[in-house]
Amino acid sequence: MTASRDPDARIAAFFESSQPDLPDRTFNVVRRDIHRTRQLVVIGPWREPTSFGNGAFVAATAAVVAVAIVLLNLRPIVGPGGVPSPAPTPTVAPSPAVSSTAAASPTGPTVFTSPMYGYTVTIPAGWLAAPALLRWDGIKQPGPDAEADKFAGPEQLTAWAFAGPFSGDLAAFVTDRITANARDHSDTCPRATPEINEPLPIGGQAWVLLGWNCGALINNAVTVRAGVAYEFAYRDLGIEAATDPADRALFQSILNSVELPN
Amino acid sequence: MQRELVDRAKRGDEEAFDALARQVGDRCMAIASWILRDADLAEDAVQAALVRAWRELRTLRDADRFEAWLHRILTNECYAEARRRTRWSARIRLLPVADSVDAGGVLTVNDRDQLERAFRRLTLEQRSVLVFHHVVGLPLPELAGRLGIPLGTAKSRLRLATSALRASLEADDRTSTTEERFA
Repeated sequence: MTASRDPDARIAAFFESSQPDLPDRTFNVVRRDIHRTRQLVVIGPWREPTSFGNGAFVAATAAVVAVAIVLLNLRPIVGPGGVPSPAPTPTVAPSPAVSSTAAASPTGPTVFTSPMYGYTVTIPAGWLAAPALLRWDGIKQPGPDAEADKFAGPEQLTAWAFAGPFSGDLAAFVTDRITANARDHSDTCPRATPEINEPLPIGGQAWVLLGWNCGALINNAVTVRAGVAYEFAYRDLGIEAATDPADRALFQSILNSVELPN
Repeated sequence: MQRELVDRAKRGDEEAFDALARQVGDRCMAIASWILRDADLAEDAVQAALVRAWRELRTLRDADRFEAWLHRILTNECYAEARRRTRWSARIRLLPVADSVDAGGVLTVNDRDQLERAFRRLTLEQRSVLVFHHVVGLPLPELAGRLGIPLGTAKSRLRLATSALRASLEADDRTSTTEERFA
């Protein structure tokens, strides 16, 4: 085989082929859309990485991460007959950035009240919180998108939360979440069942913790209360396992601070 | 210059963001075109990524990391567009096949066809790793950070994806050799 027939050389040449430029019409649409789009308001300043000591970094990041709460990627509401009812129409939140009641506190924990979903959670100092812009519609993929309240910590830590109406019990919701993972994340998270699936009592409320190793630590805490299902999602890109003691402790402490609406 | 534009855009300056978008738009389009292999979907993904970047720009801590941060958003939007494509599969405009013979004479038309087909069989995540490695030119550690995945995952995806592309070429080489032998 000559050098020119080297597969790697041919692969490299393959990726050198030109691709189309972005047409002007797209720039024009973006310009129009940003004029109509509010920028998220950052709640509390980022803590600079240098402010973390080596030993404290993991613990601090873990705490930050815990903040992420959320709603599950709720599936369409299941009626008494087991037939999914129509998904609710997406609703634009009324000025979510303004309606958030979270307070900025660079030196201490911050209480974040979700304008969209009504829960409160205490997030560590220096974390960012961005309220959801849209109510989850029961169709889109779950995750830290416009339908979730988002919490960002240093570097590898992210958390988010969202919720929606659910007519089943907690066990049904857990099953729904596991099914959703297989449906939506089988490429990066191929296990059919989570590596962790255990009760997680918080106060008087029953929760279930689901832990996945998806190339990164993904922990979901789910509960159902008064016909509404909640999911808090916690992700640590620095851990390639379903569980980690520091992350678990941090997530637990954050969940302990969650107050759900009645 | 880009940093100044980012800082201005973070303060709500739409003109600054428009200038930023024009600086990075073509590169984003190239990335999205590679990942999605469909021009219309790529345009939609870039558009969605830019609007989302505007909305979330204030969460960007380091203005110098704007493009890296945008690329992560873009990659996620590409995944989302690909999922939507399964629902709207009729709306597909394939990218034109690039020049039949590359400048260096390394690729034959058949090679390109084999690689294109093999590339399209990869998962989106594998494609993304290849694109950020070969097209954007990122070393693995930076690539992992840009895609928001662990380094080990990035290595694994790159190895598997590259093996698949190599295998497609080698299988075709063996077929060609056999055909020549019996011609």
